[in-house]
Amino acid sequence: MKKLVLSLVAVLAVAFSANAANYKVDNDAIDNIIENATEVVVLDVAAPAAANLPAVANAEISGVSAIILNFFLGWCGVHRHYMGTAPGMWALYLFTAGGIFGIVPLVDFVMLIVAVADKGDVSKYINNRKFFMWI
Amino acid sequence: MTKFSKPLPYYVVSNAKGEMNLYRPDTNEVLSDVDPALGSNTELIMLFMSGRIDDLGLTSFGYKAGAATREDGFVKKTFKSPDPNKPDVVVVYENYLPIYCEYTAQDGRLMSKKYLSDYKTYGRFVLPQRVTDITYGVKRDSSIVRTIYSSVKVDVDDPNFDFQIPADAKPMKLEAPAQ
Repeated sequence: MKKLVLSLVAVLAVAFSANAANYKVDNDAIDNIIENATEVVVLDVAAPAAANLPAVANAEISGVSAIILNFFLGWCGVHRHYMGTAPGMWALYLFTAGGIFGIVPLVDFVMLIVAVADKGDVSKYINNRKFFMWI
Repeated sequence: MTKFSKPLPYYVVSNAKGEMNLYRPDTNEVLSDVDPALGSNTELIMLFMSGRIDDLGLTSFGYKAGAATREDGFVKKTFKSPDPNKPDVVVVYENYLPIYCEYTAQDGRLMSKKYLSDYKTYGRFVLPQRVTDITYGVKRDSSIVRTIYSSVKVDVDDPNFDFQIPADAKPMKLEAPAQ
């Protein structure tokens, strides 16, 4: 699973910078980036994690992996399933457009970075079934 | 009710009060929770259908709206976060419709941008057909998520409207961690 996810990250990593003064994105450029990207079926990658949710053992979880998963797939909550959470959490992230209009994965990202930078201890987020894992 | 077909069949049934039931039909299991964040009001289509596009639901989560300013024909509004761990949000409107959201960390770092475009009118509400999210990470990397809304039907009969979670659905449970 870990190798598969890291391959996915490499494929999805694209350098893109938008003009901060511009409130409209170049949809053609976005389409071009996506159409020319190597196709990886993200939800199929996520499926094993999202299927049955046996709670995970703390020792198996890397905070850095969780951060990487959050960065690329936070919108569908894959980082939560990697760390162990309630079944179907991915559906709740999608339901709320990435968690309250995209805010929840961003807060997850910050909290994971803080935890890893502090003592590297993300144990309080492991097997955490709350929608807001940081509360 | 929101029906997911991939990667697994799931139904999310929620109401405006935040009572949410997550139902998995293949195992006939249900997970229930109550949280305003899980209410139907947080869902993008509901936000637009109910006309809550002036704040995109942010004020209901404690965000404080700042004064609106005009800039090159756009209206810009800043929503200050109630929590230092949550980003501030800038929303830019064109013709009263949100077209851009910017999420900034409390240290001023740009975290994410969201572009809403290709608005289409469906009866009494408008909906962006296209939402593009660009999230910024470390070392100038970014990820792009493009969401396309299509085949929107209004005022039609559909069996999904009558969906009920079976009364014999079992509660979902998390197994204990393997030690």
